[in-house]
Amino acid sequence: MYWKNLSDVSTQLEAKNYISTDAINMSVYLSAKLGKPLLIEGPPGVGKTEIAKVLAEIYDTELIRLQCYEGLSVEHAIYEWDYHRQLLALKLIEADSLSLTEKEGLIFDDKYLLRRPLLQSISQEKSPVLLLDELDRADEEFESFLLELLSDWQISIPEIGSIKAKTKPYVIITSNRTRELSEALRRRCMYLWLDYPTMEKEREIIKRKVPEINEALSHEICAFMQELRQMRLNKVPSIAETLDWAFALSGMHIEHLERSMVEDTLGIVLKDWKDIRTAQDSLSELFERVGVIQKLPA
Amino acid sequence: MIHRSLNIPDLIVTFCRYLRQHDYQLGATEERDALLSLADKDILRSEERFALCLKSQLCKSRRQITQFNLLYDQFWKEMDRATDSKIKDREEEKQEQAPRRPPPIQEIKDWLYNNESNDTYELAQESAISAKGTNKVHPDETELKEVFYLVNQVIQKIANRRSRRYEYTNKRGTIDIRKSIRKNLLSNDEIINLSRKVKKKNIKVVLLCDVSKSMDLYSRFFIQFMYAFKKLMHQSELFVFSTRLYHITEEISADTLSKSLEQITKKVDDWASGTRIGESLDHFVKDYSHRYLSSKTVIFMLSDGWDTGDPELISESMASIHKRAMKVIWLNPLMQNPEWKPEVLGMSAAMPYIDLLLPLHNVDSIRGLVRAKL
Repeated sequence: MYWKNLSDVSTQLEAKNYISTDAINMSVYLSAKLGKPLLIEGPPGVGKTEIAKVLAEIYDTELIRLQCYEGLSVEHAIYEWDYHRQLLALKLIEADSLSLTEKEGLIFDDKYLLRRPLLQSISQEKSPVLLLDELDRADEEFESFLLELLSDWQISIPEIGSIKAKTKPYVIITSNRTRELSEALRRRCMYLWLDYPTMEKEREIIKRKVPEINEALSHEICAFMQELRQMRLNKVPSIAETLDWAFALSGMHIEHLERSMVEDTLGIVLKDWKDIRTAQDSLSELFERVGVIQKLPA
Repeated sequence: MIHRSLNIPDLIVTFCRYLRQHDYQLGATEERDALLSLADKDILRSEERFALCLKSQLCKSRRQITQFNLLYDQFWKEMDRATDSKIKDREEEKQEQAPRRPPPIQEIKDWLYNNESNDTYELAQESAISAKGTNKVHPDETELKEVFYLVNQVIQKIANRRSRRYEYTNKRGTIDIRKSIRKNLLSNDEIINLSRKVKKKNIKVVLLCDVSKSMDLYSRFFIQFMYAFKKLMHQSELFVFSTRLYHITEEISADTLSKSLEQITKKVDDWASGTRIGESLDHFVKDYSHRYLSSKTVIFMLSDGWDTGDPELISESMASIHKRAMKVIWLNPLMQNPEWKPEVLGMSAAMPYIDLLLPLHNVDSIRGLVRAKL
């Protein structure tokens, strides 16, 4: 196992600018220790994918990413025969006096095999990090296929035979909960729920990612975001939006949140016109709760 | 009852058993993994780490994570109590056997077997569009059989026909030979580009039924409708709502209709009370939509749209459901009247998000569903 002990996890994650929590540390540590995939669920933009990226950096290994979508099939995820090249090759050897078995052997050769992310991930010399992003978008059939891979670590290709994993990848699965993942898959994984960050954690993240920002402004931004998340919104803003906003405001050398400025830049934080209208309607109330004193209009 | 033991493996096994009682699906693998990870000296260093380790090993969903701390504390409390004398436990057992309030089966049976109470009769009179004459069908076996027969046709229409047909696709599927040959006519008998086809996937159904006071006249029929739906289509999920939302799939799956009813009555406290469509739908969106809504789900709403809640909330929830489901079909019992217009607040709030609005008030009207383009 890579980690020396539990505290090693938090130190290394922090060294890579990932602000973690005890729950994250424990899950990462145990999933590496037991060699189990880590299933991370949570609202969009709270840093699920980021964990995989940071871990690949820490383990100093390749990150193989499979973005899932509806209709994702085995051919796109595992392997596919390069049909066009096979056809050309067949044309070329047509006149040769080879037996049928020999011709078949030539065509179903490794060089005509297009390796897709899952096959790639088990044929590496050094264990890579395999990220199955947004698995909830893929079909249930694909999910059940994954079960086989996750338990046996081998893939069978009818023309060649089964390919056994050289090394086991570190698997990270993320899901936005648009659909419930199956009980069987959950049982094979370690489960981690990532929620919106607490005020302190969010401030710490801003401090790391936007170091040039003014301390008071960062406090106000975080307080404002915390209040905003309490409102009934269609799309709740997450850390990515907070960071964009902090970048924008600090880039304009603003020191305090002001009503007009917030109104103008609300589009960075909220991505739904209805949400923007709701927020604009209750802006005074939001300011009051955040504790920002507004300048009276001259 | 929990027996106290200080041995860690025993403790973990007892704890897992305790969690299983609270709907945690844990097997021997989870117990083994929990023990393996506890073998780490680093983890046993503090109590917080011990708890956190168990939490990340044994929880497999968000609900379980939120429940865990409470259950963990309760478990230790029970462990402490287990050291006390057995007499105390016996006393507790006795207390548990205290007489429970019998479920109001009679009330439900009354309306099931058409002994309409005065209330419902009055309501029908008062209602702007009275359902006179349409609800007097006797609930005998033949009626249920008829419901089954017709519901089966509805299901055939929405589910099966789709799954038999092949459709052209860019994704990977079975090779469509006819299309491939046509596509490659120019390349001199050489098939270079392949066409593929796939079967449309099976459809799932979610039924949300309003059982508030204003729907009282039709509830009996709707329950039959839902019972038949569940019996004939395995992949259907059923909910009823009045002021709150209840998931009744399990309850309605009983062997007989009367048994199903008995179970539903036990679960649903506010039968025939007020209506809060908005709140109920919001509850559905928050707690169940990720599990039951997909692009292959057809949603049936069985309601008259009479609502006392916030119409804004109805449109918000309906918008969210409409966005994520394949089709939203609203079945309204009042629509039988040709004068009817979707003017009540709840109905007009939901209208923009309904794909199909159809009347459904008695067995005959199911035929309308069979004829409609579902």
